[in-house]
This record gives sequence, C-alpha cells and structure tokens, in this order.
Amino acid sequence: MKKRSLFSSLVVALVVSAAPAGADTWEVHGNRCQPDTGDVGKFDLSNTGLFNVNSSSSGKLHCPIEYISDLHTGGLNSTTLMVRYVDRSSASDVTCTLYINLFDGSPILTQTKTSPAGASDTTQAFEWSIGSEIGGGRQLEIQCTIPKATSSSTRSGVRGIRLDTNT
Amino acid sequence: VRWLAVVGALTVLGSVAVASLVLGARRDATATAARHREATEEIAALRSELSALRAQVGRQRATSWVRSSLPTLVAAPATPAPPATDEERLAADRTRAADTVSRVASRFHAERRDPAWSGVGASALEQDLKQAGLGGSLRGVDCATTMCQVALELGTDSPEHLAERLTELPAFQTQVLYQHQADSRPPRLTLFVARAGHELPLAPVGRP
Repeated sequence: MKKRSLFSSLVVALVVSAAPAGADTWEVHGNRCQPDTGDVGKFDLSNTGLFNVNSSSSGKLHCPIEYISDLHTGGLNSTTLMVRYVDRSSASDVTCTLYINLFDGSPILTQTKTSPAGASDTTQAFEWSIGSEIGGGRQLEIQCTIPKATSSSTRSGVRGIRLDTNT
Repeated sequence: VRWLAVVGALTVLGSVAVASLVLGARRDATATAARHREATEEIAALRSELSALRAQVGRQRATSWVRSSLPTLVAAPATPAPPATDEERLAADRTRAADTVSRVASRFHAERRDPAWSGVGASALEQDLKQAGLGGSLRGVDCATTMCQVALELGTDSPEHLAERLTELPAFQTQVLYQHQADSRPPRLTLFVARAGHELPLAPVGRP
C-alpha cells in the first residue's frame, strides 16, 4: 500500500511538473498607454503612471493590450483585464472603454466602466471579465478619458494594466 | 539345534526387517525435506517473478497514463499543420463571433419586456443617437429586460469609427455587442446593448 501511494505521488508530481502553465499574467506600466493625437501635450510620463497635467480639459489615452496568442486560441480560456487608475477629480470621473475588434478592425464588443463619483487619492481598478472573447487574432485596446488636473498635486491618470488568463 | 537355528534365522530376519523399516523412514524423511526445500525455492522464485511482473505492469500503466494525459508533450505531430491564412483566420473568427451573437440574440428574443424600463431604455438610446447625428441611420430599437437591440443602417460611417462615437454616448456606456451584416446593401449593423448593471450572456452556460 505504501509502495503504491509512493508510486502515485511520483506520477502525479511528474505530470504536474510537466504540465503546461495553466495561467498567464501580463502586467504593464501605465506609460505603455499613448495620448490621443489631440492630447499629446496634456500627459506627463512618470515612474508612477501616466497623468493628465492639463488644467483646462480632460484627455484621452489609448492603451493597447498585448497577449500571447498561443494561450488564447479562442474559446478555451477565461480572461480578466484590469486597469489601475487614480481619480483625484471631484468634478468628473475616469472612464475607460475596452474595445475588442476582429483583426480587420471590425468591432465585436465594447464595454465601458466609470469610476465612482468623487475624488480619491487611492489607486482604484476597473475590471473586465471577458471570458473567451479574446484570441483568434482579435485586437484589444482600452481607451481612457482622464479628468483635467485641478492643481499640480491633484492629477488623475493610469498606473498600470494587468491581464489574467486561465487556460 | 534345529530350534536354535530357526530362532537365529527369525532374529536375523527381524533385524533385517527393522533395519529396512528404519532406513526407509530415513529415506522418506530425506525425500520430504528435499521436496520441502524445492517447494520453498520454487515459491521464492515465483515471488520474485511476480514482483518483477508487478513492477513492469506499473511502469506500463504509468507510461500509458502520462501519454494519454499529455498528448502534446509526449507525441508531437510528425507533420505540423500549415499555418492558417489571414482569410481563414478571419473566417474562423467571424464564425466564433456569429456564435456569440446567436447566443445573445436567442436570450434577447426569449426575454420579456420590462414595462418599467423597456420604453425608457429605448428612448434613451434613440435620443443619444439623434444627438450624435446618427438618427438617420436608426432602423429600430427594442428593449427587453436586460438588454436592447438596435438596428442601424450605415451610411458613410465605417463601423470602426462608429464604435468610438457610440461609446461616447451615455446610453451606450455599458456593454455593446456588434453584429455586422456586411453583405447587405447598404451595410447594416445590429447592436445588443446591455442595460446598466447587467451583462450580455456572451459565454455558453457553464463557461466563464
């Protein structure tokens, strides 16, 4: 009995160690996002994130989402996307929209998230559970509208992006 | 003298008989011991053989289990399939998207109207489209309980730019699924727009 259980443990350990990774996590700094053409001068790149320093108007960021196609062959996994942001504006909210397109540019899905009303110094997060609506060559982008700065210390912006996949 | 001879002969015969009995018993005992030894050796050999067979069967089971559990790791295909062309990938992805749309459309048609919300939801979508200058493209709006269906006929707007315009409209700032009818002339687009606080049933039941 003891030999059998030892043998089973050995085989299980062998299989577990040889199995392909069941999860994939991708993290990137907010500086990966790029300002919209008309908002280039509004954003400040810093080691803590990408912030709207313009005190006149909000600005839009485009954040491309990178993923490993081999782990997202389409329909076989669950995926969660997260944008970490700071909303220090009491007048308007941070709004982010996830766009999922076919690789010919045809939109398939959009989903918009808006920050809670009011200002906050803490880092908050939007989360999209997109199931298997990824892979197969689809292109993902998140666009965020960042409120204007009300002072040099009350800037809003994006800190980073995370993508989690379970295959 | 004759009697003495008879007694002597009988004694000798008796002795010979007793001796033969004793010797026979000893031979039997020796043979029994030899058989016992042989049996013991045979059992030991059989045990050893059984043990070897068990080990061999165990190894074969483990190998077949690992092979069946990890087909891609152990048995790589001899000739890899040729990579799909862009057209093939796009066609496959359109099929996948069509499956998702079909699932959401089925749910939409199965839902009842929510008397407290359906009219209000449809009006909000219509209003937003008109304010964005897209009122002329609108061919119909219908709202059930957790989602609405919006039919648009596209003019000069390409769907790519339309998506960005739509997401700026408050009523479309939820979850929106696009169904393209590129073959229709002019091109038509059907949108499924989730009611605020709800999500579209994108995944099959039981799947994330």
